Amino acid sequence: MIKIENLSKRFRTEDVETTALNEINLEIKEGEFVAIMGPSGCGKSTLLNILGMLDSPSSGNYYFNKQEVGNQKESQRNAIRKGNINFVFQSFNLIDELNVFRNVELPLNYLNVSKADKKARVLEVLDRMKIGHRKNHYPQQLSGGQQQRVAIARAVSANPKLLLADEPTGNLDSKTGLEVMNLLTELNSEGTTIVMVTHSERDAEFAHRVIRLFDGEVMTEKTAKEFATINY
Amino acid sequence: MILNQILKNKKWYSINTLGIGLAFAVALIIFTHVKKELSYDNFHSKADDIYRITTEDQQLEGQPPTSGIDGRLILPLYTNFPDIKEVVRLIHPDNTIITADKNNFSSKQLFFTNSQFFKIFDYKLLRGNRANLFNQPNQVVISKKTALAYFGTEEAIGKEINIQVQYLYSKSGNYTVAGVMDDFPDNSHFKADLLFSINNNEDINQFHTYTYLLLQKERNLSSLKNLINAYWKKNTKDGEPNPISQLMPLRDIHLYSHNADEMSTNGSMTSLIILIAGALIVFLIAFINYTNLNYVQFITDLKDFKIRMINGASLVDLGQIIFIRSLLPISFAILLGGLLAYNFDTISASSFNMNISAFDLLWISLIFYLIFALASLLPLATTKVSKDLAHSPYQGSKKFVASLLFQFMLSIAAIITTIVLHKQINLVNNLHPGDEKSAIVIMPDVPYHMIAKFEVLKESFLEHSEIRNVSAAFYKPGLNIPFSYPFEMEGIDKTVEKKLNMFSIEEDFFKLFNIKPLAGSLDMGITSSIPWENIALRIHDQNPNKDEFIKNLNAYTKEHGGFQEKYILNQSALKVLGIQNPEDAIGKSFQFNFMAPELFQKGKVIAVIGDLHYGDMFSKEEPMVLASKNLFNSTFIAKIDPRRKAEALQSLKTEWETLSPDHPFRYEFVDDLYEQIYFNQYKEMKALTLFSILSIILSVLGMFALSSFSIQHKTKEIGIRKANGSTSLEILMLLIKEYTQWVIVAFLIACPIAYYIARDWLSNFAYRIELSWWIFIVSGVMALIIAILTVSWQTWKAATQNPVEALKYE
Repeated sequence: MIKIENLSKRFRTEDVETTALNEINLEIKEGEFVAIMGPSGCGKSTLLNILGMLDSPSSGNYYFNKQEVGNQKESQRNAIRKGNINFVFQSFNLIDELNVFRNVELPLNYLNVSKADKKARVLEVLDRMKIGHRKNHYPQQLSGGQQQRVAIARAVSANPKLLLADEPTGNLDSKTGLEVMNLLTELNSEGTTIVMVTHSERDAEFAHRVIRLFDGEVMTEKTAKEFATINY
Repeated sequence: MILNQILKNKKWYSINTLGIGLAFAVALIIFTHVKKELSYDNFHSKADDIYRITTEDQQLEGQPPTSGIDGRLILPLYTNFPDIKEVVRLIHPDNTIITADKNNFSSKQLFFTNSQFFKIFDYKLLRGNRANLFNQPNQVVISKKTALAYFGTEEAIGKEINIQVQYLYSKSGNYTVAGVMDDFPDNSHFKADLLFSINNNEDINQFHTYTYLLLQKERNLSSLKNLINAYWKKNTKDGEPNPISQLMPLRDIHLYSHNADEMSTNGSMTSLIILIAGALIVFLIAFINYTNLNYVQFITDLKDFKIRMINGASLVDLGQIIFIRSLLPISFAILLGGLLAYNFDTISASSFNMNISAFDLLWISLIFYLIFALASLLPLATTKVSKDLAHSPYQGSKKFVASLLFQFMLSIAAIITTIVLHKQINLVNNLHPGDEKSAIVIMPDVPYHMIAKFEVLKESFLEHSEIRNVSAAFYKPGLNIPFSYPFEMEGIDKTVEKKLNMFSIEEDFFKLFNIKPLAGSLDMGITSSIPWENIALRIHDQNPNKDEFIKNLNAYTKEHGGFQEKYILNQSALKVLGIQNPEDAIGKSFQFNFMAPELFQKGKVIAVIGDLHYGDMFSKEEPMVLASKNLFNSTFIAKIDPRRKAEALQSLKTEWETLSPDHPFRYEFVDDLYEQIYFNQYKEMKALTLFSILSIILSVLGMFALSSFSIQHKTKEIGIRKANGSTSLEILMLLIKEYTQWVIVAFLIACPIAYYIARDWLSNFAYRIELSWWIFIVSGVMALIIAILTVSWQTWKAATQNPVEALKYE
C-alpha cells in the first residue's frame, strides 16, 4: 500500500537548515498495523504527516497504492487523501462549535453520500464507539476518553483505507488508553491499515511491526513478536 | 452553528457590524445627496442647449460676476446672432404687493418672463394650453401651491391677480391666470410660483434681467460671446456695458455658478468632493477594520479549518463556510445603516432631505454584500491553509501596522481639517458686524410706502422696552451690491478716475451694530428727509422743469434748518485714496457723483471706520463711502432683547401691521442670513465634523480589537518578562511605546495632507485664519491620547496578571 524510497525532509528557518528525515526507505502493506517509535525530535510526526499527505517531502518518492504522490500538487494530494486516509491526534482536534454528530459527519460531508446514508453511517459508527448516547453533546462536555472515541469515530466514518494515529493515547489515562488501543486493533482486524506514532512501549505491542527512528533515520524494524522478546 | 460562532466572538462581530453599518449609512446618505446635486436641471429636454449669461464688471477687481444683465442689452440678442434660437428673460422685482380674491399676498418667487419660457423649459403645466400661453398681454401662470393659497379649490384659470411693482410701474396692473403649473421640482436651480407675462419685444430699460439662451446644436460658444460683446460695445449709447464673461450651461448653474445675484443658494462642487472624500474615508476605515478583524478571526479559526481540510474539505468548502458566515453581520449592518440613513435628518437635525429610492437602497446593499462578503475571503485567499496542514503559522501583529497607520493618518487629517473649518467659520462670524446676531431682526425689501413711514414706525417700535435699537440700511446683511460712482475729495487727484461704493445707512446704524470709529465721530446729526430726496432725485439735465425743482429743493433745505451732507469712509477706501492716517481724512470736503447730481451734496468726511464686512467673506471688502439717504434704506433693522425674543417679534409685527395692514410683516435674523450665505461651508463643516467623529470612533474600535488580539498573543511574553523581574508599569510602557511610535508616524504623514486640503478650502475666503502650528499639534496629541487610552486599558489588564496565569496561557 505504501512504499517510500530515499525520502528526505528538510526544514529551513532563516539561516538554519534542519534535516527531519534523512533518506528513509519503508514499505507498509495493506492491512498492516505499524507503530513508529523514537525519541522526541527524531522525525516521527514528520513522517506521519508526509504519509498522510499533509506535508510534502523535500526529496525522494512516496508511492500510495502504487501511485507517486510525494511530488504531486497540493490539490491532487488532497483529492487522494479524501476518503482514503484519516487521522487520530493526541489532542483529539475536534471542532468545538460542532456537536458530536456533526464532528463525526464531517468527512462524509465532502464525499458524495446521501443525507440518509450519512445519518445511518454516523449513528452506526457512534454506536460502535459506544458514544451514541452523547451525539448531541459538544466536545467541551465530554471526557478525554470520550473525545478520543469521537475523534476515532470521525476518522473511520468514511471507511478510510489508511488510519494515521499520532500518539492517540498520549492525553489519556491508562484505562481509557487501553480501550482506545482495543478499538484500533478491532478496526485493523476489519481491514483498515494503521500507522501509529507512539512513545508508549505498551501501545506499540498492539502493532504487527515497530519502526524505530533516530535522528531522521530508520534504525530497526522489528515485528511485534521480536519487539516483545527484546523487552521482556 | 453560525449563531454559536457569532456569540463566541461577539466583540469582533459587533465592531464589524457597527463599522459596516456606519459606512453603509454614510454611503447611502452621500450617494443620495450627490445624486440629487448632480441632477439639477437635468429634467429639461433641451438642457444641453440652454445657457445663462454671466457678466463681469471689468473695473471691480475680485468681485463675483453677476447673472443679471441690463434689460436694454437683451433685445438685440433676438435678431443679430444666428446661433441663438430663443431668448428667455426673467425679471425678479423686489417690493411687490399681490392682490388676489381681495386678499394681499407677497411672494419671493415671482418673475416676469416672456412666452419663450414655456418653449425652452419643461416645467410641467397642469392646466392651460402651453402653446397659447402669453399670447395675450397681461397673463400670469401660477404654481399649484399658489393656486391653492390664492383661490382655494376653485378653478384658477381666468381669475384676476393684481400686482403692484414698486420700481416697475409700467408692469403693475391686473393679470389673468392662463395656466397652473406643477410646483417646481427640488432640483431646479430656481423656483417660481408666479410668472407674469412680458411681451417678447417689450423694452424694459435698465432692469436687472436674468437671460437664458437656447442655442443651435451647432454653435461656437466663444465666438458667440465675443460677437455679442463686440455688438454691445459698439451699439450702446451711454456708458460701456459689462461684457459677458461666461455662457453658463444650464446644468452647471447649481454646482458651479456663484454669482453675486443667484436666484437661490447654489450648491458647490467643492462641497460634494469634500462629502465624497469624507464618505470614502469612513468607508476605508470601516473596510480596514473589517479585513483586520476578519484576519484575526481567521487565525482563531485556523485550527478548525485545518481539521476540516484533513477531513476532506477543499478550499472552496472553506470559502463557502466563511462566505455564509459573513452574510449575517453584513445583513445586520445594512439594517442598522439603512435605519440610520432614513432617519438621518432627525438624528443630525440637518436638512439633507433624505429621499432614498428603493432601487438605490437595493443596489448599494448588494454592492456592500458583495464587497464585504468577498473581503471576508481575503485571509483564506492569502494564507496557505493547506500548505502546511500539520503546523500552525506564526501570527504576529506586524501585519496590521500598515493599516493602523493608515487609519490614524486619516483620523488625524480629519481632526485637523475639522478644527480649521470651525476656526474659519468662527472668524467669519466675528468679522461680520453685530455682537448678538441672533438678536438682530432684519425686515428686508420694505415697500416704498413703509420706507416713507420709517420715522413713525421707529418711534412706535422703540416704545416697547424689549426692542432696544431700530435703524435702516440700503440692503440686508450678506449682500454685496455694487453701487459705485466717481467722487471728488479735497486733496485727491481728480485726473485719475476712481470709484467708491456707496452704502446708505440710517443714523442709528452704528449704534445698533456697535461699530466704533477709527477716527472722527459717527454722529450723523440732521440727515436729508425723504421728500427732499424725492425732489433731488428728479433733478437731472433731461428734466424740463429742472430749475423749478432746484428752487423747491433749496426751499426744503432751509425748512430742514440747512442740513449738511456727511460722508464716512471705510479703511479699504483710505487705501484707495492713499491716506495712511485715518485722522488725515477727517474734515476733508467730499462729493459723491451720483447720476442724479443733487441727491448727494458736497459735504465733509466726518469719520473713518474699519472695514464693515456687511457682505459675504468670499470677496474682499470694497472701498466704501457711507452716507444717509433714507429713500434708499429699504432694509429695516431692529435689535431686540434676546431673552424676550417672542415678545419682541410680536411687538414688531403688531406695530408694522398697524401702519401697513396690506403688506405682510416679513423678518429674518442676521445669524440665519449669514448661515444661508455660508450654507455650503456650514454643510461642509457639519459633515466633516461628523465624518471626523465617525472615523475616530471606527479607528479606535479597530485599534481596540487589534490590540486586544495582539496582547492576547503576548500574554506568554508578558508572563516571562514578569517572571524575570519586570514590573507591570515597565511592561505597560513597553507596549505603549510600540503604539505611540506608529501614531507619530501617522501624524507626520497626515500633516502635509491636511495642510494642503485646509489651505485649498480656505482659499474660498477673502479673509482667512492662519494655519497655525498648534492646530496640527493639538490634533496629533488628541490622536495620541485616544490611542494610548485605547491600548492601556487592555495592556494594564494583561500586565498586572499573575505571571503564573500568563505562563499557563497557550
